[in-house]
Amino acid sequence: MPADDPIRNLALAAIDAERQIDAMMQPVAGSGLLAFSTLFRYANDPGFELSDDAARCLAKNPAAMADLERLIAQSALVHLPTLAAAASETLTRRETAEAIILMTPSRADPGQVYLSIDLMDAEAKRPTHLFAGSSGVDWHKLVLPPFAGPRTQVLLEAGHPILAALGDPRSVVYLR
Amino acid sequence: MSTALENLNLEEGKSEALRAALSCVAEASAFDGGPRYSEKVSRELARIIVCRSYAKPLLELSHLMVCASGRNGRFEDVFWGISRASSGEFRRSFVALNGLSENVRISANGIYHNDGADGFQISYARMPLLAALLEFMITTVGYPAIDDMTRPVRGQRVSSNDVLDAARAMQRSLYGYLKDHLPPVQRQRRVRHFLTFVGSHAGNRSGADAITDDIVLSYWSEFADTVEIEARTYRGVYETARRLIVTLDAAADRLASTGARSIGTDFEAGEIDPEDVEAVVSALDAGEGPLQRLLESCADRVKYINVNESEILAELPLNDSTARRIPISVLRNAIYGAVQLRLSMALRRGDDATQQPMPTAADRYYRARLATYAEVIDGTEKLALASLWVLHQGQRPEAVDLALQLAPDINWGVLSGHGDVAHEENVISLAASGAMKAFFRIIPDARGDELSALLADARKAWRQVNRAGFREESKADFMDTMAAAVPDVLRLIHAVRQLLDRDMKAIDWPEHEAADGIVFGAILGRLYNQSQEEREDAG
Amino acid sequence: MSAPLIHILTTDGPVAIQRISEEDPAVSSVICLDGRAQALPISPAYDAFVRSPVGVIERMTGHGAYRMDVARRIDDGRSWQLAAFIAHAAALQSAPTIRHIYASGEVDSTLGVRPVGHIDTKLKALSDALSGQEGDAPDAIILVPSQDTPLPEYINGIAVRAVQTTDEALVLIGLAAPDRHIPADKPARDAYLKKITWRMPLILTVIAAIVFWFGSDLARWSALMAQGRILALEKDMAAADETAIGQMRVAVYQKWRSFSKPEAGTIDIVGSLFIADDAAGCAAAGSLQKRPLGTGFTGTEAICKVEVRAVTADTRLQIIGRLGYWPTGLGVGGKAGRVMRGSKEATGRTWTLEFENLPAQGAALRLVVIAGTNDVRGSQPWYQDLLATPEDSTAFKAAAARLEHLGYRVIARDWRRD
Repeated sequence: MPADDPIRNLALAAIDAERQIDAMMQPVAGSGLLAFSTLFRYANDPGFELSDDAARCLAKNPAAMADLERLIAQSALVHLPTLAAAASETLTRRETAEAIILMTPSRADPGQVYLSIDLMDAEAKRPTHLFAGSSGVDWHKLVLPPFAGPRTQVLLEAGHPILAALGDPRSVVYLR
Repeated sequence: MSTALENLNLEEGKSEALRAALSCVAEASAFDGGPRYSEKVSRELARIIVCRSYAKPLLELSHLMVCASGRNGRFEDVFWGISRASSGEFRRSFVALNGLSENVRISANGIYHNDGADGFQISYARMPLLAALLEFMITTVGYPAIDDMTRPVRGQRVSSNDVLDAARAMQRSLYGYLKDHLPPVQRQRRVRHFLTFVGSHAGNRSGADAITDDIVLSYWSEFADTVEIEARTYRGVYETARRLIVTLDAAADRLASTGARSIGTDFEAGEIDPEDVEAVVSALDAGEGPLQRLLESCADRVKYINVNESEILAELPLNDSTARRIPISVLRNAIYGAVQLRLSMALRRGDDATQQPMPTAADRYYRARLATYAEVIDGTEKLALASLWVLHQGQRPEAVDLALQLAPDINWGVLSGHGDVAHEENVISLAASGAMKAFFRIIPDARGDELSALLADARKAWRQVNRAGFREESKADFMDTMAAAVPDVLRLIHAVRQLLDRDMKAIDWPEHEAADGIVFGAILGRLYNQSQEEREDAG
Repeated sequence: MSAPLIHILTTDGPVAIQRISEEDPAVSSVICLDGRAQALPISPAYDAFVRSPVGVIERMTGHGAYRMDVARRIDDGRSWQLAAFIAHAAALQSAPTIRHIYASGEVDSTLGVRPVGHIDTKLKALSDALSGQEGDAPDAIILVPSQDTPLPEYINGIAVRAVQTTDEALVLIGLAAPDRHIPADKPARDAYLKKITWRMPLILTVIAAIVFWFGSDLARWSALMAQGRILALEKDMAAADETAIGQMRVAVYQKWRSFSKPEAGTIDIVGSLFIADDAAGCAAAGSLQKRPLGTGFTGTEAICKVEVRAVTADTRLQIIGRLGYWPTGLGVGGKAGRVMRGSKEATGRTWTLEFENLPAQGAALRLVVIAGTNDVRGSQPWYQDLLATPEDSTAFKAAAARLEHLGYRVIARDWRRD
């Protein structure tokens, strides 16, 4: 079988490639990658939460964070952009032509805050969850209770991270 | 020196990133936590990537993304709105989208994209791989990049050139990624060494024809205890020979069918067509064999074959020409490969390797092994017969398939009242003539006519079976699994029977039992007595 | 008196309403679980129940956002509304007379209480929850909507009362009915309301003053009366009577009750004697002769049995009473030989007395019938004088007056063997 035999060469190339496939198929533990399937589900399934490992992975992986941001923004029903307020200012109200978000401290329990969302268009599709965060930094997800009419409301502990994110004028909010 | 080491580390880091990306896709989860992509799909993906044969799949993917985004410009819901990337799930997704885009036609087997030119067809069976490829692209190139690249072709009527542009954009990005991350292939020295030996002993034979039983044994005999090359185990040599037979045959077929000729030996330099390489690599994929397919389709639920039986049948190369080309090597591997493994393990344990029993001619060991294969496949056939009863009771159309295969000589024409129906006119003609209903009305009777007697045999077989999956016939999902596995079990029975009857029958096994006992005894004695002595000296 | 414990009856047992707090009107009312920042899914329904114009709570309280904490989850339905309404009403007023209130019912926009499902199951679940806790029954009440199917009178000793309106419910627990707002779907009354809109602040102020000044006593007494706890009512009024204002309130209440007093002649009393030739004949029930009771008996036969019925055509009236047997004459010996409570029947009550010691000459019977719009429960010390003293005696008159002041009519009948 001469060395320039095309059948021989193709066969050897295939065997070399197969060995490399085997090597490439070895599982990698702790790669720091997060499957896009997981990100998609996190962005779209209100009831799906990232595991602690996945959340850590996301926080350390700018590419995955960028994927998530694009996913969140892609099919958002309402987008509330960053505001031109001073960074030190804490917002209690965010408003666009589509929705108003209010954060109202509870009179009954000062340690709790009402987060209410009113849609301006009563016929608009109702969001099921909310993302708030700053690009490339951190994103927080909140599952919204079903809307009663154009409004939904959720009661949160005052220290809830979503409140901090919503109160930060630099953050972006998506209702999905 | 340090620079070379740094480069090596750098290279390793890059390939590690690629490995991590493939691993990330392979380990992606379905909603229930199970794997989103089958092992077969993950391997196919790795094959496309390593062989760099992604051009055509990316074009298919681009068309698929166009079709998937027909409703609202978003492709993601079709790809990730499903839990498992399976052909069934994609079929359901597209059936749900049917009519939402005038350029997409949904059929039973796949989708058709009317791109204003020749149109583009994608089967549902292909979609899991394309989904894995898309997930890999997103993992490596990034979702925003893929989103941007494909935006011009989504949610609107597009031409074939538009789709091609999108596919090319993805190809360029993947090419760029692999340029940085796919390491050069390692040339397999053992294979080349073996092939050189084959070449020097082949006479005027070429290709896979040059690999014979004698050459395999000679090679092992000559190099088993040399330092020139790692060829210590007969099993290793046999596997090398087998892989070469498979690839040489596949390469010959491929080149014959495409009429192409590589212009050189350097695959990475583009001297060999990546698609040719991928096609040949796919021939090596064990997952395509009938045994693997049966195990994948039903092993967990319907035990047509148990673990012990599958281990025995795994010794047989059922999906290639190995048994035809080197039949004696197949049994040498089964018998002496196992003996050598026991010796190695004994040595590793510190036992006296020389005390390990060796097969003798009196054992008729090759013939006994062949009888074992026949016995296992007889059992499988009996289980198939038992499943005929279950599927007949469940009035599943697969029962007809099974009956036709198990009793091809029966006169099926009696069912349709049309006289003799050739058995090539199988399920379709039976169904069309209403004969299938007549088939399900047949009452088993051992003394009745052919079909009644066949069903009586099937019922009898079923009564004797006590295996998982054969007593859960009232559960629809078990029935589904059993029915779905019918083609695979028939394929396995056929493959094993063919190997035993065609490839193994004409060989003078008593002579080989006597001769091989001497040859293998000598080589193994040389290898393991020597090792034993070395161990004792060291002790 | 401490705040009442109000419970929502559910099929899984009673669920305590732990607190009700006003919230910023900008937020929607919520029902929270046990003080936690966990609004239950039923919160939007509670908000609708609170927020005017549909909701009834804001109409009552003037505030449109509340947080109600409950001890356990309540998931769906509207049967929590009656308990929630009572809790809101109780939060506005001084403590009610009843401490443990178990309620189930839907409240409509006219403050009617509508039937809800699974009352039987809820009462059973309550009974299970209360098992082993009996003993505080007078301090508790179970309020359910009026329904066609019969209700048990008591669950673990706690009275079960059917109500048709929230007013009834509040009165039963000793709270004043809130200012009744006019439903929006009454156009004629709307027009009337528009006419008096300019006067509304003044009217509301007057009503508020009346409710403040009088409402709590009136409500409390009405509740006691509704529960038939006459002695407690009498004591409460006596306590109020010690001040001039209290006297006025008592007088007003007694005047109001007097309107409920049955007219004379609305009660018919008929009786029969069952006699035999001799004492031995009393054993043969079939041979007894029946004679009208009258006021006396002069024959020689043996009197085996007496049966008296007090009946009325007025279905609102409750008839109670005692039949006392004095073997040696009315009031002789200070203690009646037999005292019969009588058995309740659809139109009144029947007393049957089979004599063990047959009446001899001088033996007397005294029947005292008390009729009023409310049943009487608990201790009734007035029977001692009503059963033992002549009708024209001061003691009898005083005892009768106690009841007459509370809107009851007292009727006595005497019989004697001469």
